[in-house]
Amino acid sequence: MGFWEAILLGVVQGLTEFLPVSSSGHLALFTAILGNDQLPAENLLFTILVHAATAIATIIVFRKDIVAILSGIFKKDQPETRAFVGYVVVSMIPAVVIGLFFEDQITALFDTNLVLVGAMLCLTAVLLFFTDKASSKKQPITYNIALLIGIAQAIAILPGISRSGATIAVALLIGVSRPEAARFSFLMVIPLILGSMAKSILDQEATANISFDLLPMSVGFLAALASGVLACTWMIALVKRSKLSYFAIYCLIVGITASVVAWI
Amino acid sequence: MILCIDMKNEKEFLFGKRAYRIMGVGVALIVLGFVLMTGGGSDDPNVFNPEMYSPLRIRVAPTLVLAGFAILVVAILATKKK
Repeated sequence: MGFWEAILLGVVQGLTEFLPVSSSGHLALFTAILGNDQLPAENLLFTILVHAATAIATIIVFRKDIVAILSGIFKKDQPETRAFVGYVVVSMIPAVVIGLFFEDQITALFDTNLVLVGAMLCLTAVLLFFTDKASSKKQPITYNIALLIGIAQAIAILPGISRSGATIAVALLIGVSRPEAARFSFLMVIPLILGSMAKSILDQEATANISFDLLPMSVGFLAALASGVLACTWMIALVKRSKLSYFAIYCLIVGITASVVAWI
Repeated sequence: MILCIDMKNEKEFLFGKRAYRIMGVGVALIVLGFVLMTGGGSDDPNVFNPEMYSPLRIRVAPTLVLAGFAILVVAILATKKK
């Protein structure tokens, strides 16, 4: 992988992980356009590093929240902090079940079917339109709500459904406030990304006979980290100001185009 | 006209000096882990090289990478010293 290619892919990963446009959907489209050999999708180390970069970007943006959560877990006077950790754990269950048992089948089904990917991008667009229309209430997150948001996250494993878009949309439609919806959506994914990353690193078959080029890996990581911090901060502001419909229009155009082109 | 530059605010970094040092250790461990993980494959596809699954590659190297990332996260979360 070249220097500029690593930067480009790092920036794309950093932006699409946080902005509601579905990184997996775009990867499926780029793979179809460029051919399987053109994209380093199978380059495990690079994939691990850019995913790690986006997890670290989230940790940087929410570091004060995370420190407050970690320090409050064992304090008797902070039951709400322990409850928040419980909500995050509950929200992870659907994605862990789907990821462990069905991810390969889902990937196989969608990799060869751009019509489905396009349709899912259109569904993301509809979700984002509704998200901007939802009136911001102050419904606190409960275990049931956390589970519903977690189910939305699990469904977002489908290429074309944006994880951040789906989880924020479900939270807002239930009545969770805009800042809390964005905060919960990004905090709930940190353990999942780190867990998935650790699983990949410890997978002996996947890491056997790998190659490691320091320069492209480093610049790819830094590009994903910098763009991730910017995109995460930007996304939080966009959710608060109800400005996700721009992404809805984008997803709709890309989704319709992909479906029509694949159909023809 | 005299220009006053606030030197105190000029060099304000996101993390403290100590955090950057710890991050450096984390990054070094990650790089070392990945370097140790590489290679070991056979040039001939019909010949299996057991070195590919040596303890250094499948135990030590992944542990170093994970430890590096853990140290990186701890450094980010470490409170900045005033």
